[in-house]
Amino acid sequence: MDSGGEMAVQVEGTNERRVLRVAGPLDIAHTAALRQALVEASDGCGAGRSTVVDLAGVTAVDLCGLQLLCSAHRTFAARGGGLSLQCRPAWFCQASTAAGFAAGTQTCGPRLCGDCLWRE
Amino acid sequence: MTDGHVETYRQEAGELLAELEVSLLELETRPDDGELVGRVFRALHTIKGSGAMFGFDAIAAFTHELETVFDRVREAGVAVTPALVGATLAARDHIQALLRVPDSETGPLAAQGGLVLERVRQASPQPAHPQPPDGAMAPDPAPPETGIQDPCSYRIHFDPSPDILLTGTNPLLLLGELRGLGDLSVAAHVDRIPDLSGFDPERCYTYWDAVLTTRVGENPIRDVFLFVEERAELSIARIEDAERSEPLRLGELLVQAGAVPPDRVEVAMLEQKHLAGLRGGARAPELVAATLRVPAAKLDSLVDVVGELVTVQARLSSYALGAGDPEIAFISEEMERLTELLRESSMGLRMMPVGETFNRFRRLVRDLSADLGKQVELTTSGGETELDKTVIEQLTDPLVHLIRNAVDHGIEMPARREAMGKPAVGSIHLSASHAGAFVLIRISDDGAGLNQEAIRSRALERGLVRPDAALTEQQIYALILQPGFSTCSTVSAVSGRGVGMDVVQRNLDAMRGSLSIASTPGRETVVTLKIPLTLAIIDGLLVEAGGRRFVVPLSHVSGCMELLRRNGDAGRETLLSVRGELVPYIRLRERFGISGQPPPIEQVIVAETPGGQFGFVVDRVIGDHHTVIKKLGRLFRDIDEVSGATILGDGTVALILDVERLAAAAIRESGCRQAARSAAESGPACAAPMRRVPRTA
Repeated sequence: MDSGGEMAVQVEGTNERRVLRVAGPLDIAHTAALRQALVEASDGCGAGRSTVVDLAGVTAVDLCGLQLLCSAHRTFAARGGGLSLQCRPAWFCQASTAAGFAAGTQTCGPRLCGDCLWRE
Repeated sequence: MTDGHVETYRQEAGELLAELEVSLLELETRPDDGELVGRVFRALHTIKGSGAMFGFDAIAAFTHELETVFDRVREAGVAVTPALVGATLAARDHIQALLRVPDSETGPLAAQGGLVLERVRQASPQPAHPQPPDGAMAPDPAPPETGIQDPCSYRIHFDPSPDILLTGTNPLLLLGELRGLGDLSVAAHVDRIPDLSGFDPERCYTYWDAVLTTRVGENPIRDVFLFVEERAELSIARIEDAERSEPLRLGELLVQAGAVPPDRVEVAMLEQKHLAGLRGGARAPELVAATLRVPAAKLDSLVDVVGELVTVQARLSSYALGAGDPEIAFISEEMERLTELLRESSMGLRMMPVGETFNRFRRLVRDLSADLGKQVELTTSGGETELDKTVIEQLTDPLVHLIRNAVDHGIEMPARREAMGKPAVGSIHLSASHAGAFVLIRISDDGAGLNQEAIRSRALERGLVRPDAALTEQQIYALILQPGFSTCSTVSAVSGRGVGMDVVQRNLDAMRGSLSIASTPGRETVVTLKIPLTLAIIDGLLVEAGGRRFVVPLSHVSGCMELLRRNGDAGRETLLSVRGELVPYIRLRERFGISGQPPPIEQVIVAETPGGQFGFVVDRVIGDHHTVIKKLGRLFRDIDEVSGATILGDGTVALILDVERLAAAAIRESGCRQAARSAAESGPACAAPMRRVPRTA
């Protein structure tokens, strides 16, 4: 699904706390930029360092976008760093919950990531 | 399917359509409001689901496509545009049209429905339903859901092929369709999602377990997955009642015992939460209704019976008063108290907030202003004010006419408004408030106001007034209530034919209501409707003249007094002095041609009318009376001065006076007002000080 528009990711903050501000659709056609930014951020992550994905500017989300966030959370957790979401629009929360991605409903299986990414 | 079920669905769907309209109009101004989108979706979902259950298959099929569109708005963030709102409003109208005819007779409407849906599709950024892969045929828009079934819960496991996204299928839309069938709890399994280094955005790593409680049966659930079944593992199993009733902690016990794999634990817990919610908790209101839907005819019948009871109670009270038996008197008083409580309760059952009626006019204003190229905002207040349902039903047409007039004649074009220093957007305010036994409905607009000169000129042309007539502002405004009266030189699709204000007046007359107009040229017009709270039972003052009994509505009575005749003046005076004010009066004996000699000391009932205070002379005042209004037969339909009749405790009939019309007719016929000037010089009739109305029947 192409929701129109382009995705932009702006990286802010320090090495200890990095903020990725996402603007535009977070869908199958537009996740490349965020994935790249997350890969770069995960390279430097480790104990005591956190990364925050700010979703205030996100205009659409699909399964691919939700999977990408889960994947990033798992990657950061495996490296001892933390990844969290902030400024989730209400519609985003509704969409993720409806897709089964919400604290207490999505199942991570045996590879638990620590604190749930979808906890609001 | 019984007629009762069908009628219930029609009523509920009508209410949902009204709610849908309000939500859409609000959504037009707040397109990003997720809560509004949710309300629209839920309304469509319920209309569709219930429609299928009650045999309205055409509605279910049509609404399915709309629901899918708004599901995408809700779930996938598709933008709400004015075009989409407009198309959905048109679709809402089409559903209403489908609702009016039996499902088997909706064929002629199919073509129109197709056009409406095409408009919705064009207004929606993507097709209204997910496209099947490889150009396969699209599924039928609505699953064939037939028959009322008890709610059943199903455990659904959906594990799509990893390449399913490449086929254009969006698994989240399928979940949305499932949600459209009932209550859905869903859990995503994300354990297959790799870390970022192995992440491929075009692969589906997720699979789902869901619990769906629905009345539609298993086949419609399978239909959701019709085009993906070959690319997915799918299992649908009914959760038996025995499982549903298992203790809530079963999941936890299984975990402790290691009887289930860890990745099933969350799903088991989800399932238990879902079923627990159905048994008690959050979903309880759907199963145990807090309100009952009762056919209006049953309420009407109840009020009729209570009316009869009030009449018999009056008879009992009358008997007890003269019987001199303390036991009978005690029982009568108790009966009277209970009857009064029952009367109030039964009348309260028919009271409805007027706000729902107000909401209907938002659409009217939106569409009219768009047609006329104007910008108009409708605001309301006092929507919680309650009125008898029969009054509300009769109020709709007058309000439609008044609002159409306000938009068409009142509010100016945006450019003209700006040139006059007004905001381009015109304002119409609709308000309701209580005033004693009446409700005041005000329709005000900040438009051009009424042109008194134009009204007067038009009235002269039509011979409605004499050239030398000195008319007050109210009298001039009252001219626009004449049939066929219009100052418009052109006839638009909206108004200008002179049809409408007389309809307003006629409807108000039927309700025993009245209308007043105030206007400031260039600034505003305010039309105030004064409507009785109820048309069924009123508090009245029972009076007697020449052995005949009449009821004067207590809401009009300001007091009563004795009339002291001056020697030789009997029957000739027309004015009396009440607290220094000259009040015209008539004798009911004379008005209704009742022969015989009046008593030496008569009583005057002083009533408030739009033209000021007016007196009605009677032989005696009997007291207050709970008056059950009975319509007069066809023979009496042309008698304006009597608004109905009531049956008294002794079985006799008393006429209910329409004091406003009676006073107006008396003034018109005898020229009381003109006489006032000359009579003032010779002095009015003598009256004793006014006293309060007696409270014994």
